[in-house]
Amino acid sequence: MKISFTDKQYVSIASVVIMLVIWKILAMHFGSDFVLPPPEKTFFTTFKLFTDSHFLAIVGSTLIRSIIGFIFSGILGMGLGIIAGINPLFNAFLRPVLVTIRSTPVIALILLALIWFTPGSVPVFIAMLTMFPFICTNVTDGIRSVDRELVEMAQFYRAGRKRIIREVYIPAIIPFIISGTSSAIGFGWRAIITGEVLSQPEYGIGTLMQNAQTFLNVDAVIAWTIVAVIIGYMFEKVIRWSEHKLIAWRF
Amino acid sequence: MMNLEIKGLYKSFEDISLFRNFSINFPEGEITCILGPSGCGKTTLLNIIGNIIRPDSGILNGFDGKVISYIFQDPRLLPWKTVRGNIEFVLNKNLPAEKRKEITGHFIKLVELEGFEDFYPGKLSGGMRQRVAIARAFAYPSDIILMDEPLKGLDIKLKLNLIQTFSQIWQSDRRSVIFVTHDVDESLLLSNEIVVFSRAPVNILTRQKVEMPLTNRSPDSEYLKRLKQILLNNLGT
Amino acid sequence: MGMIRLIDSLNNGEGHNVRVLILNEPLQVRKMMIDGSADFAVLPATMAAIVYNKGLEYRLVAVPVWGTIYLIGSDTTVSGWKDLKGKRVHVMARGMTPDVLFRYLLEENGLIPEKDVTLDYSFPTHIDLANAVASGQADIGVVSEPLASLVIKNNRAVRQIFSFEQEWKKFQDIPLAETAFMAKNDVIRNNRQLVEKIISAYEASTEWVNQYPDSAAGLIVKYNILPDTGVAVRSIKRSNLKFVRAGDVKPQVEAYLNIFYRMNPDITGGKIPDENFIYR
Repeated sequence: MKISFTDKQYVSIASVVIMLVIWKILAMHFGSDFVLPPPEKTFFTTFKLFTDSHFLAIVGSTLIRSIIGFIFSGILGMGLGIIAGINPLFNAFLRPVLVTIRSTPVIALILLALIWFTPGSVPVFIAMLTMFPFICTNVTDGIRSVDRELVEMAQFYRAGRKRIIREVYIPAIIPFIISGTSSAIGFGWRAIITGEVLSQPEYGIGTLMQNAQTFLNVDAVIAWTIVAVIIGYMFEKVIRWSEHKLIAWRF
Repeated sequence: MMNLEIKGLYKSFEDISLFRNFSINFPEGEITCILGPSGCGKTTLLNIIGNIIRPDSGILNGFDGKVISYIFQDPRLLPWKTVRGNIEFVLNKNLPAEKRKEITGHFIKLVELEGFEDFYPGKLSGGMRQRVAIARAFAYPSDIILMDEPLKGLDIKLKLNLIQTFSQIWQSDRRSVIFVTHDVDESLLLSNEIVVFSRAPVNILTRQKVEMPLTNRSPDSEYLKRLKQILLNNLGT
Repeated sequence: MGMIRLIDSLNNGEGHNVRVLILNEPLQVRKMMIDGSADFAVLPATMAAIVYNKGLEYRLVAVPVWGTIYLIGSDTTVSGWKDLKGKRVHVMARGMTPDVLFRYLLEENGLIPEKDVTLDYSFPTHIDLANAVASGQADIGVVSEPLASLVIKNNRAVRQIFSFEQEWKKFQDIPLAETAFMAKNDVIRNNRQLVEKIISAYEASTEWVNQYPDSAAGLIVKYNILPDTGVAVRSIKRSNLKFVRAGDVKPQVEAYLNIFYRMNPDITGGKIPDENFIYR
């Protein structure tokens, strides 16, 4: 059986290999598990993580917080985004708010959230707050980008309000929603784990990272990081896949 | 034959008076071309007929209750719908699926796009997209078809092609067509009657019938060349 | 604090290059051990075990402080352990001594940590947590000396609810070997004399502090550990200062670590430290 790769895949694989080699060299140079454990050790630890009885609860908790945060920010983002898309005054009002939220360092938001909320809800709140500006802005842009001429054509052919919304507005907005979702999830996933590191809920990837720090298990810190990166990557894949399904017409 | 009439039309934009006590009639079931220089108000008249804008005053006779299709300068197809989907878009949702398929199939065939039913506009050439727009305009159960410079910017070959397509369809389904252009050759190849507009405020400079079957027309025809001269003379004023 | 006389005499003395750094958080001490800049270190015993088990070149020389952790708070409805059910208790950091000790006591008293009692780690350092209890942001907190006495002084509503040392005694015969005094292997090998000197001096200093708390309080204020002498005197009494060489309490240290090891091996760094952990 021959397995062949395209050129592009070769280069990507080579890139990963080079990163691993550099890692190994640096680990050997430092010679200390506290500074940088070698890759083999870390991968072994990563596998051990999977066998931990609480692994599913830990990863699941972080995932559920992200999903809940995403749903809330999706609803809020779309609601406000639609209003801002239709009403320019409201858009002007909303803009500075969104810019402020987006520019505030996440850590500042977390520290404030710790004061206002219980530790269990801090990560969800953070997820929501960091994700919603992306969705909101993209929905607004999407609505404003709808081709006036297409709407005119549809009105001319007496397509009816509901049909116009369903078949002219929504398909035009979907690419923007997907783009917003992609940014939101990428950002929110990382923010939520940072939130967990500081608020320390009982189950969470961030919590376990912090624990590993306390117990001087540097390889576990990296291992959990790898878990987080893998999940982040999977989110990305899911979004790419749904993009292909929802906006097949673009490809 | 019934006429579609416009009487005593007044319309200004800002301070420019486009129509001052203007009247015109269009024979039903015929292709009437409005020929005139850019900016003289041709599109505005079309939009008034199509009810997109309101006149300042005036009477429109014979237009009540009439269903109107519009072919715009650019095809205005929904990028996320296939060729079939775009044509179906103007059909009544309540029609059963087979009926809709039948209608769309019929017109797709007439514009010679068989085989492309499931293509998205992104994969079609400019000319093909305009053909879909034509099919759509005809698939819509309209009494009148309005066209605003539908061949603008297309190359000669494509123009002739589309004119051919259009005439073919029209032969089997003779709706009233009013189309607007500044291109004399187009007007000669596609209409039954040509009305020449002056600059604003609009006057009718001349009306010329084209007594030649649509399918026979070619730019080389002597008859058409003579007609062209008349039109150019009028446009010169 | 037990070292305060030693610190003072080192400060006043000349002809030596011994420097004492008073840091706020045990993690800061740990960092200096990781980069090797600390020759001697005073840190929680569980952290000492982790550091040793992870291969850092330090050994346990003595246990200078025995039980300094208290449950304090302004909540007047708590008098017994069962009253903690459904309450929110603020703890400094997951996995550190106050946390594991509290969890142990909760379990021994029939309460499930995080299920029966909400554990809140929002305030991640000693000082943040102490301030939170003092300002009323936190109703109940696990705070250690010397900060515990300071908080009680600053906020009249706050009182001591439990002394972990006393609660511990209800379940264990062995004392709470809470704090570790470690020395770097290099120093032990190359300058054993110095190590012995410092041991004696530290021992003497601790005895002096216990004998003359008022004078010691003066020094404590002088070196900015606490702001007033009244609090300092109280804090000294509640800090269980007693310098004991590690070799003399080996079984107690091991038993102490064992309890936490059985709760979660990570707390002591994955295993119980071996023979070489203890300096003789």
